[in-house]
Amino acid sequence: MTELTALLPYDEKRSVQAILACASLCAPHGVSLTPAEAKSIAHTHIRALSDNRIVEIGCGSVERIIREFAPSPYADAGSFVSLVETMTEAFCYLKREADREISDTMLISAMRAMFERSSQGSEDLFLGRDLDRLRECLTGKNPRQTLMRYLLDENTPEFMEAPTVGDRGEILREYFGSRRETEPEVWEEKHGRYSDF
Amino acid sequence: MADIVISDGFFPDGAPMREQYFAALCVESRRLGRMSEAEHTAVLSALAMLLQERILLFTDGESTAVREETAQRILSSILYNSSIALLAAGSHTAALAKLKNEPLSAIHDTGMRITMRTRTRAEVLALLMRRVCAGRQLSRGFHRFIGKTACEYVRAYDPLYGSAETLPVRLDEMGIRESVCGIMRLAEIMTEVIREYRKN
Repeated sequence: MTELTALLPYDEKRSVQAILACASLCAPHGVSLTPAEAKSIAHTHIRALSDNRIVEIGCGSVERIIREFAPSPYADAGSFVSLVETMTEAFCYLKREADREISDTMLISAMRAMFERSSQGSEDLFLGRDLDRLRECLTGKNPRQTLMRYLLDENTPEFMEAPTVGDRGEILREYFGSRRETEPEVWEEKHGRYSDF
Repeated sequence: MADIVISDGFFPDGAPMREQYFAALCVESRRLGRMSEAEHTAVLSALAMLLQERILLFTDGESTAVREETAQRILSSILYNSSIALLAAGSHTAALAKLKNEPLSAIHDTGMRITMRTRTRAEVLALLMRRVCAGRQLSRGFHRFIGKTACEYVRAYDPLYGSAETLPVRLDEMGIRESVCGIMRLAEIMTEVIREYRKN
Protein backbone atom coordinates (compact mmCIF):
# COMPACT_ATOMS: atom_id res chain seq x y z
CA MET A 1 0.00 0.00 0.00
CA THR A 2 2.87 2.40 0.75
CA GLU A 3 3.94 2.19 -2.89
CA LEU A 4 0.44 3.06 -4.07
CA THR A 5 -0.24 5.84 -1.56
CA ALA A 6 3.12 7.38 -2.42
CA LEU A 7 2.26 7.31 -6.10
CA LEU A 8 -1.35 8.41 -5.77
CA PRO A 9 -1.45 10.72 -2.76
CA TYR A 10 -4.87 12.12 -1.85
CA ASP A 11 -4.97 15.76 -2.91
CA GLU A 12 -7.20 17.15 -0.17
CA LYS A 13 -7.20 20.73 -1.42
CA ARG A 14 -8.29 19.72 -4.89
CA SER A 15 -10.93 17.36 -3.50
CA VAL A 16 -12.40 20.08 -1.28
CA GLN A 17 -12.60 22.41 -4.28
CA ALA A 18 -14.26 19.71 -6.39
CA ILE A 19 -16.77 18.92 -3.64
CA LEU A 20 -17.64 22.60 -3.21
CA ALA A 21 -18.01 23.08 -6.96
CA CYS A 22 -20.29 20.06 -7.16
CA ALA A 23 -22.36 21.20 -4.18
CA SER A 24 -22.84 24.63 -5.69
CA LEU A 25 -24.56 22.99 -8.67
CA CYS A 26 -27.01 21.39 -6.23
CA ALA A 27 -28.16 24.72 -4.75
CA PRO A 28 -31.50 24.56 -6.63
CA HIS A 29 -32.31 21.47 -4.52
CA GLY A 30 -31.89 23.49 -1.33
CA VAL A 31 -28.60 21.97 -0.21
CA SER A 32 -25.24 23.65 0.13
CA LEU A 33 -21.88 23.00 1.76
CA THR A 34 -19.42 25.27 3.53
CA PRO A 35 -15.65 24.83 3.02
CA ALA A 36 -15.41 23.27 6.51
CA GLU A 37 -18.13 20.77 5.66
CA ALA A 38 -16.45 19.92 2.35
CA LYS A 39 -13.21 19.34 4.26
CA SER A 40 -15.01 17.06 6.69
CA ILE A 41 -16.45 15.05 3.76
CA ALA A 42 -12.97 14.80 2.20
CA HIS A 43 -11.60 13.47 5.50
CA THR A 44 -14.38 10.91 5.71
CA HIS A 45 -13.62 9.90 2.14
CA ILE A 46 -9.91 9.39 2.89
CA ARG A 47 -10.74 7.30 5.96
CA ALA A 48 -13.34 5.20 4.15
CA LEU A 49 -10.93 4.50 1.30
CA SER A 50 -8.23 3.46 3.73
CA ASP A 51 -10.55 1.33 5.91
CA ASN A 52 -11.90 -0.56 2.92
CA ARG A 53 -8.59 -0.76 1.05
CA ILE A 54 -9.84 1.08 -2.00
CA VAL A 55 -7.75 3.26 -4.28
CA GLU A 56 -9.49 6.18 -5.91
CA ILE A 57 -8.26 8.78 -8.36
CA GLY A 58 -9.65 12.10 -7.16
CA CYS A 59 -13.06 12.19 -5.53
CA GLY A 60 -15.38 11.27 -8.40
CA SER A 61 -17.47 8.98 -6.22
CA VAL A 62 -18.19 11.75 -3.67
CA GLU A 63 -19.22 14.09 -6.47
CA ARG A 64 -21.57 11.43 -7.84
CA ILE A 65 -23.03 10.87 -4.36
CA ILE A 66 -23.68 14.60 -3.93
CA ARG A 67 -25.31 14.86 -7.35
CA GLU A 68 -27.43 11.75 -6.73
CA PHE A 69 -28.61 12.52 -3.21
CA ALA A 70 -29.13 16.29 -3.45
CA PRO A 71 -32.54 15.90 -5.16
CA SER A 72 -33.66 13.26 -2.64
CA PRO A 73 -36.75 14.25 -0.66
CA TYR A 74 -34.94 13.05 2.46
CA ALA A 75 -31.98 15.42 1.96
CA ASP A 76 -32.22 18.71 3.79
CA ALA A 77 -29.72 21.45 4.38
CA GLY A 78 -29.22 20.53 8.03
CA SER A 79 -28.37 16.88 7.57
CA PHE A 80 -26.87 16.83 4.10
CA VAL A 81 -23.26 16.60 5.28
CA SER A 82 -24.08 13.63 7.48
CA LEU A 83 -25.96 11.96 4.62
CA VAL A 84 -23.09 12.43 2.17
CA GLU A 85 -20.56 11.12 4.70
CA THR A 86 -22.70 8.07 5.45
CA MET A 87 -23.15 7.32 1.78
CA THR A 88 -19.44 7.83 1.09
CA GLU A 89 -18.59 5.24 3.73
CA ALA A 90 -21.28 2.90 2.41
CA PHE A 91 -20.02 3.32 -1.15
CA CYS A 92 -16.45 2.37 -0.22
CA TYR A 93 -17.77 -0.62 1.76
CA LEU A 94 -19.81 -1.83 -1.22
CA LYS A 95 -17.12 -1.02 -3.75
CA ARG A 96 -14.94 -3.76 -2.32
CA GLU A 97 -17.55 -6.25 -3.50
CA ALA A 98 -18.51 -4.51 -6.72
CA ASP A 99 -15.07 -3.58 -8.06
CA ARG A 100 -15.26 -3.64 -11.86
CA GLU A 101 -18.55 -5.49 -12.13
CA ILE A 102 -20.86 -2.57 -11.32
CA SER A 103 -20.32 1.03 -12.41
CA ASP A 104 -20.17 3.76 -9.79
CA THR A 105 -23.28 5.42 -11.21
CA MET A 106 -25.33 2.25 -10.98
CA LEU A 107 -24.14 1.43 -7.47
CA ILE A 108 -24.91 4.92 -6.17
CA SER A 109 -28.33 4.88 -7.86
CA ALA A 110 -29.08 1.57 -6.14
CA MET A 111 -27.96 3.02 -2.82
CA ARG A 112 -30.33 5.94 -3.25
CA ALA A 113 -33.21 3.67 -4.28
CA MET A 114 -32.63 1.54 -1.18
CA PHE A 115 -32.26 4.58 1.09
CA GLU A 116 -35.48 6.16 -0.10
CA ARG A 117 -37.71 3.13 -0.48
CA SER A 118 -36.60 0.55 2.02
CA SER A 119 -34.92 2.73 4.65
CA GLN A 120 -37.48 5.52 4.25
CA GLY A 121 -34.74 8.10 4.57
CA SER A 122 -33.30 6.71 7.81
CA GLU A 123 -29.52 6.55 7.82
CA ASP A 124 -29.55 4.16 10.79
CA LEU A 125 -31.89 1.76 9.05
CA PHE A 126 -29.83 1.96 5.90
CA LEU A 127 -26.59 1.20 7.70
CA GLY A 128 -28.10 -1.40 10.02
CA ARG A 129 -30.11 -3.40 7.53
CA ASP A 130 -30.20 -2.32 3.92
CA LEU A 131 -26.48 -1.88 3.41
CA ASP A 132 -25.98 -5.58 4.05
CA ARG A 133 -28.82 -6.40 1.69
CA LEU A 134 -27.05 -4.46 -1.01
CA ARG A 135 -23.80 -6.19 -0.18
CA GLU A 136 -25.46 -9.62 -0.40
CA CYS A 137 -26.87 -8.61 -3.74
CA LEU A 138 -23.38 -7.73 -4.99
CA THR A 139 -21.87 -10.98 -3.81
CA GLY A 140 -24.70 -13.12 -5.21
CA LYS A 141 -25.46 -14.32 -8.69
CA ASN A 142 -26.08 -11.75 -11.43
CA PRO A 143 -25.46 -8.68 -9.27
CA ARG A 144 -26.21 -6.32 -12.11
CA GLN A 145 -29.61 -7.81 -12.73
CA THR A 146 -30.49 -7.91 -9.04
CA LEU A 147 -29.47 -4.29 -8.63
CA MET A 148 -31.68 -3.39 -11.57
CA ARG A 149 -34.60 -5.00 -9.81
CA TYR A 150 -33.92 -2.92 -6.73
CA LEU A 151 -33.84 0.14 -8.93
CA LEU A 152 -36.87 -0.55 -11.03
CA ASP A 153 -39.29 -3.04 -9.50
CA GLU A 154 -41.28 -0.79 -7.25
CA ASN A 155 -41.50 2.15 -9.59
CA THR A 156 -41.92 0.30 -12.81
CA PRO A 157 -43.39 -3.15 -12.25
CA GLU A 158 -44.06 -3.38 -15.96
CA PHE A 159 -40.32 -3.81 -16.44
CA MET A 160 -40.21 -7.49 -15.58
CA GLU A 161 -43.36 -8.15 -17.61
CA ALA A 162 -42.06 -6.29 -20.65
CA PRO A 163 -42.64 -8.62 -23.60
CA THR A 164 -39.35 -8.04 -25.38
CA VAL A 165 -35.79 -7.14 -24.60
CA GLY A 166 -36.29 -3.96 -26.62
CA ASP A 167 -39.20 -2.90 -24.39
CA ARG A 168 -37.11 -3.43 -21.30
CA GLY A 169 -34.36 -1.43 -22.91
CA GLU A 170 -36.81 1.44 -23.45
CA ILE A 171 -37.74 1.39 -19.76
CA LEU A 172 -34.09 1.42 -18.76
CA ARG A 173 -33.37 4.22 -21.20
CA GLU A 174 -36.15 6.27 -19.67
CA TYR A 175 -34.99 5.53 -16.15
CA PHE A 176 -31.36 6.34 -16.75
CA GLY A 177 -31.95 9.10 -19.27
CA SER A 178 -31.11 11.91 -16.88
CA ARG A 179 -28.33 10.06 -15.10
CA ARG A 180 -26.17 8.90 -17.93
CA GLU A 181 -22.99 10.82 -18.48
CA THR A 182 -22.58 10.07 -22.16
CA GLU A 183 -24.92 10.06 -25.10
CA PRO A 184 -27.35 7.10 -25.11
CA GLU A 185 -26.04 5.71 -28.39
CA VAL A 186 -22.44 5.83 -27.17
CA TRP A 187 -23.40 4.27 -23.85
CA GLU A 188 -25.29 1.45 -25.53
CA GLU A 189 -22.62 0.80 -28.10
CA LYS A 190 -19.98 0.65 -25.40
CA HIS A 191 -21.80 -1.55 -22.92
CA GLY A 192 -24.66 -3.22 -24.75
CA ARG A 193 -26.19 -3.95 -21.39
CA TYR A 194 -29.82 -3.82 -22.30
CA SER A 195 -29.49 -7.20 -23.91
CA ASP A 196 -28.65 -8.67 -20.49
CA PHE A 197 -32.26 -8.31 -19.57
CA MET B 1 14.92 -9.32 -26.06
CA ALA B 2 18.60 -8.53 -25.45
CA ASP B 3 19.88 -9.04 -21.93
CA ILE B 4 22.08 -6.33 -20.51
CA VAL B 5 25.76 -7.28 -20.57
CA ILE B 6 27.45 -3.92 -19.98
CA SER B 7 27.39 -3.02 -16.29
CA ASP B 8 28.52 0.65 -16.67
CA GLY B 9 29.22 0.73 -12.95
CA PHE B 10 25.58 -0.10 -12.16
CA PHE B 11 24.54 -2.94 -9.87
CA PRO B 12 27.92 -4.11 -8.53
CA ASP B 13 26.11 -6.89 -6.63
CA GLY B 14 24.42 -8.23 -9.75
CA ALA B 15 21.47 -7.11 -11.84
CA PRO B 16 18.01 -7.25 -10.26
CA MET B 17 15.22 -9.54 -11.40
CA ARG B 18 13.47 -8.56 -14.59
CA GLU B 19 10.25 -7.26 -13.03
CA GLN B 20 12.18 -5.18 -10.49
CA TYR B 21 14.46 -3.53 -13.02
CA PHE B 22 12.52 -0.28 -13.37
CA ALA B 23 12.53 0.47 -9.65
CA ALA B 24 16.09 -0.79 -9.18
CA LEU B 25 17.37 1.39 -12.02
CA CYS B 26 15.85 4.50 -10.43
CA VAL B 27 17.37 3.68 -7.02
CA GLU B 28 20.78 2.84 -8.49
CA SER B 29 20.85 5.96 -10.68
CA ARG B 30 20.08 8.12 -7.66
CA ARG B 31 22.84 6.37 -5.69
CA LEU B 32 25.37 6.98 -8.45
CA GLY B 33 24.24 10.58 -8.88
CA ARG B 34 23.17 10.00 -12.47
CA MET B 35 19.58 11.00 -11.85
CA SER B 36 18.71 14.29 -10.19
CA GLU B 37 15.96 14.77 -7.64
CA ALA B 38 13.88 16.64 -10.22
CA GLU B 39 14.29 13.84 -12.77
CA HIS B 40 13.31 11.26 -10.18
CA THR B 41 10.21 13.25 -9.29
CA ALA B 42 9.34 13.55 -12.98
CA VAL B 43 9.59 9.76 -13.42
CA LEU B 44 7.35 9.17 -10.41
CA SER B 45 4.80 11.72 -11.69
CA ALA B 46 4.77 10.01 -15.07
CA LEU B 47 4.27 6.65 -13.35
CA ALA B 48 1.36 8.04 -11.33
CA MET B 49 -0.22 9.46 -14.50
CA LEU B 50 0.17 6.16 -16.30
CA LEU B 51 -1.31 4.29 -13.34
CA GLN B 52 -4.33 6.60 -13.37
CA GLU B 53 -4.79 6.06 -17.11
CA ARG B 54 -4.55 2.28 -16.76
CA ILE B 55 -7.02 2.23 -13.86
CA LEU B 56 -9.54 4.21 -15.91
CA LEU B 57 -8.92 1.86 -18.83
CA PHE B 58 -9.47 -1.12 -16.54
CA THR B 59 -12.88 0.20 -15.45
CA ASP B 60 -13.85 1.36 -18.97
CA GLY B 61 -13.97 4.88 -17.57
CA GLU B 62 -17.01 3.97 -15.47
CA SER B 63 -15.35 4.17 -12.12
CA THR B 64 -12.57 6.12 -10.49
CA ALA B 65 -12.21 3.66 -7.61
CA VAL B 66 -10.80 0.13 -7.56
CA ARG B 67 -9.72 -2.34 -4.91
CA GLU B 68 -6.22 -1.87 -3.57
CA GLU B 69 -5.23 -5.32 -4.85
CA THR B 70 -6.45 -4.43 -8.33
CA ALA B 71 -4.48 -1.17 -8.31
CA GLN B 72 -1.43 -3.09 -7.11
CA ARG B 73 -1.78 -5.61 -9.93
CA ILE B 74 -2.10 -2.84 -12.50
CA LEU B 75 1.00 -1.16 -11.06
CA SER B 76 2.90 -4.47 -11.20
CA SER B 77 1.90 -4.84 -14.82
CA ILE B 78 3.13 -1.32 -15.65
CA LEU B 79 6.44 -1.90 -13.86
CA TYR B 80 6.93 -5.26 -15.52
CA ASN B 81 6.26 -4.05 -19.06
CA SER B 82 8.32 -0.89 -18.56
CA SER B 83 11.19 -3.00 -17.18
CA ILE B 84 11.07 -5.25 -20.23
CA ALA B 85 11.33 -2.25 -22.55
CA LEU B 86 14.19 -0.73 -20.55
CA LEU B 87 16.09 -4.01 -20.51
CA ALA B 88 15.82 -4.15 -24.28
CA ALA B 89 17.86 -0.92 -24.49
CA GLY B 90 21.10 -2.94 -24.31
CA SER B 91 22.88 -1.25 -21.40
CA HIS B 92 22.03 0.40 -18.11
CA THR B 93 23.19 3.77 -19.43
CA ALA B 94 20.99 3.44 -22.50
CA ALA B 95 18.08 2.30 -20.32
CA LEU B 96 18.53 5.35 -18.08
CA ALA B 97 18.69 7.68 -21.09
CA LYS B 98 15.51 6.08 -22.40
CA LEU B 99 13.78 6.55 -19.06
CA LYS B 100 14.80 10.22 -18.93
CA ASN B 101 14.03 11.15 -22.53
CA GLU B 102 11.08 9.07 -23.65
CA PRO B 103 7.53 9.36 -22.31
CA LEU B 104 6.82 6.54 -19.87
CA SER B 105 3.64 5.62 -21.73
CA ALA B 106 5.73 4.99 -24.89
CA ILE B 107 8.20 2.85 -22.92
CA HIS B 108 5.31 0.90 -21.44
CA ASP B 109 3.74 0.34 -24.86
CA THR B 110 7.06 -0.98 -26.19
CA GLY B 111 7.23 -3.39 -23.24
CA MET B 112 3.69 -4.55 -23.95
CA ARG B 113 4.59 -5.30 -27.56
CA ILE B 114 7.64 -7.32 -26.47
CA THR B 115 5.64 -9.35 -23.95
CA MET B 116 2.96 -10.00 -26.55
CA ARG B 117 5.61 -11.50 -28.82
CA THR B 118 6.84 -13.63 -25.92
CA ARG B 119 3.30 -14.74 -25.29
CA THR B 120 2.85 -15.81 -28.88
CA ARG B 121 6.11 -17.76 -28.73
CA ALA B 122 5.05 -19.50 -25.54
CA GLU B 123 1.73 -20.46 -27.09
CA VAL B 124 3.42 -21.89 -30.17
CA LEU B 125 5.92 -23.83 -28.06
CA ALA B 126 3.27 -25.27 -25.82
CA LEU B 127 1.04 -26.33 -28.65
CA LEU B 128 3.93 -27.91 -30.50
CA MET B 129 4.98 -29.83 -27.41
CA ARG B 130 1.53 -31.18 -26.94
CA ARG B 131 2.30 -33.47 -29.83
CA VAL B 132 5.87 -34.21 -28.76
CA CYS B 133 4.93 -35.18 -25.21
CA ALA B 134 1.72 -37.04 -25.95
CA GLY B 135 1.57 -40.28 -23.99
CA ARG B 136 5.13 -40.02 -22.66
CA GLN B 137 5.81 -41.37 -19.14
CA LEU B 138 8.19 -39.21 -17.10
CA SER B 139 10.11 -40.27 -13.98
CA ARG B 140 9.40 -38.94 -10.47
CA GLY B 141 12.84 -37.29 -10.31
CA PHE B 142 12.15 -35.48 -13.53
CA HIS B 143 8.84 -34.28 -12.10
CA ARG B 144 10.63 -32.90 -9.03
CA PHE B 145 13.10 -31.07 -11.21
CA ILE B 146 10.27 -29.63 -13.27
CA GLY B 147 8.32 -28.69 -10.13
CA LYS B 148 11.24 -26.64 -8.89
CA THR B 149 11.49 -24.61 -12.06
CA ALA B 150 7.81 -24.60 -13.01
CA CYS B 151 6.72 -21.48 -11.20
CA GLU B 152 9.61 -19.35 -12.42
CA TYR B 153 9.10 -20.67 -15.89
CA VAL B 154 5.42 -19.90 -16.08
CA ARG B 155 5.94 -16.51 -14.48
CA ALA B 156 8.56 -15.69 -17.06
CA TYR B 157 6.11 -16.46 -19.81
CA ASP B 158 3.21 -14.65 -18.19
CA PRO B 159 2.74 -11.65 -20.50
CA LEU B 160 1.03 -9.36 -18.08
CA TYR B 161 2.78 -10.73 -15.03
CA GLY B 162 0.83 -9.54 -11.98
CA SER B 163 -2.24 -8.41 -13.86
CA ALA B 164 -2.81 -11.61 -15.82
CA GLU B 165 -5.74 -13.68 -14.71
CA THR B 166 -5.18 -16.51 -17.13
CA LEU B 167 -2.17 -18.43 -18.28
CA PRO B 168 -0.66 -17.60 -21.65
CA VAL B 169 -1.97 -20.77 -23.27
CA ARG B 170 -5.43 -22.22 -23.43
CA LEU B 171 -5.26 -25.03 -20.92
CA ASP B 172 -8.47 -26.72 -21.97
CA GLU B 173 -7.09 -26.97 -25.47
CA MET B 174 -4.15 -28.91 -24.05
CA GLY B 175 -6.29 -31.13 -21.85
CA ILE B 176 -4.84 -29.58 -18.68
CA ARG B 177 -6.90 -28.50 -15.69
CA GLU B 178 -6.22 -25.07 -14.18
CA SER B 179 -4.54 -26.21 -10.97
CA VAL B 180 -1.06 -26.47 -9.50
CA CYS B 181 -0.62 -29.83 -11.22
CA GLY B 182 -1.91 -28.30 -14.42
CA ILE B 183 0.59 -25.46 -14.25
CA MET B 184 3.39 -27.91 -13.53
CA ARG B 185 2.33 -30.02 -16.46
CA LEU B 186 2.35 -26.94 -18.66
CA ALA B 187 5.83 -25.96 -17.49
CA GLU B 188 6.92 -29.52 -18.08
CA ILE B 189 5.69 -29.46 -21.64
CA MET B 190 7.35 -26.14 -22.35
CA THR B 191 10.67 -27.25 -20.86
CA GLU B 192 10.55 -30.38 -22.93
CA VAL B 193 10.03 -28.47 -26.12
CA ILE B 194 13.11 -26.37 -25.50
CA ARG B 195 15.15 -29.52 -24.84
CA GLU B 196 13.92 -30.93 -28.09
CA TYR B 197 14.88 -27.74 -29.90
CA ARG B 198 18.37 -27.83 -28.35
CA LYS B 199 18.88 -31.43 -29.40
CA ASN B 200 17.97 -30.52 -32.93
